[in-house]
Amino acid sequence: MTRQDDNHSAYAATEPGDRVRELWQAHRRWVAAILLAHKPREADLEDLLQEVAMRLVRHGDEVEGLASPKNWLRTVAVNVARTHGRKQKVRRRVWAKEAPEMESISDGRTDPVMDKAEIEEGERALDLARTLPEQYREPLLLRAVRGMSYRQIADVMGVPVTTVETRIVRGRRMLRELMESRPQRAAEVA
Amino acid sequence: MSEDMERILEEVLIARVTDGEATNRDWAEVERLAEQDPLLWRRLAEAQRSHALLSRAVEDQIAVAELIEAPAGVRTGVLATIGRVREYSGWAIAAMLALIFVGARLGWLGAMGFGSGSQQAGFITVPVADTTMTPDDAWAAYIDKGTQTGQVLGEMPAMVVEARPIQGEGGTTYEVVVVKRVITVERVTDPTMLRVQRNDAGDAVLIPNGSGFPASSEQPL
Repeated sequence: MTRQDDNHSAYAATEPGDRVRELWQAHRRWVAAILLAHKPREADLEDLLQEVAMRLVRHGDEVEGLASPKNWLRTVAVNVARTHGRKQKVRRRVWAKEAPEMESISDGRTDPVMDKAEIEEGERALDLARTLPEQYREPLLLRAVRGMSYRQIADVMGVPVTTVETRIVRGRRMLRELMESRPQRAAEVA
Repeated sequence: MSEDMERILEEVLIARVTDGEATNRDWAEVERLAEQDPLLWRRLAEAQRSHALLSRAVEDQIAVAELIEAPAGVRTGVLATIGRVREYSGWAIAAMLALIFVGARLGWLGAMGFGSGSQQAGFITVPVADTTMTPDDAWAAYIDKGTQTGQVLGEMPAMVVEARPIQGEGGTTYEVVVVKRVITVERVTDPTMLRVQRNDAGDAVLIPNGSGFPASSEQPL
């Protein structure tokens, strides 16, 4: 993929800072999905996103000159998720210790669109998807991002579209088998 | 075609339909297979439902990305660190970083427009007039004073942003750039200034809404 082929608005802006900012805005959602696929459970997604954004700004000039800034962003996201994930565990413990009363805010969560059982089922699917082998969970979670086509996922991962399709099919099969073989959390509690 | 091959073909077709990637030829093949096995429609419906549920869960998690903006510009040295952090994480953290340096460089930061009264985001005043105070002293003074007044709840471990090697007489050392973070209490008089947002763990947290509140508090309260 060439810079010209990368058909998004990131290069339309004139100022370098604006271009980097737009590049980030165009891609941050799937970057979040990459982080989600690779980060440890306890790592804070928001912190990791900030880290990737900062690296993008620091290397803005060189990234703009790359044939595939998407590949660069993916590599950085994977590295950030792997290297920084462990540190957040300590931080969360501190947070829970210092401000326990604030965690109780989470008790009031509601969702007006999906019913609770469906939300829980989706969350369970996501939990299990994150246990899949790396080569399957990443395309599976990227496909779960609204608007991400096989072609776009292939561009991000730097693999052929057919590979993406195969991995998604296998990933879904593995996820389905996991969902069927593991009892639901509610059933476990009961 | 063997049974295994048929199963794989069906899975591929279901995936393409579910993902909006199916061609007319794929659809024709789906109909052909469904004539032999009508339960294929049910499996297709289940696949679409599973995908929708997973997508919803993923979208919920990554929604936080919309709140993260790339900082505007990069300058060099200490000011760059403070400036980037200010643009990126809000004034509170930047002000903390400024406090680290201000003891040793009083006047210099002021001349650059940092630390002016209107931009201090309600921070506790540290006696920076003492130019012998080291950055560590200033930081400790801030934590101590904030803890006394109740504004500071605690300090979280620093987040390492970057480590770069520096060649010196004694060999290679490293300059480590970190973001220091402090849990603070902010007072809000107007509850409409807050909105509920899901954090990474899926928990609801309160987020300041719009201006009138220190930008630093865009971290979940």
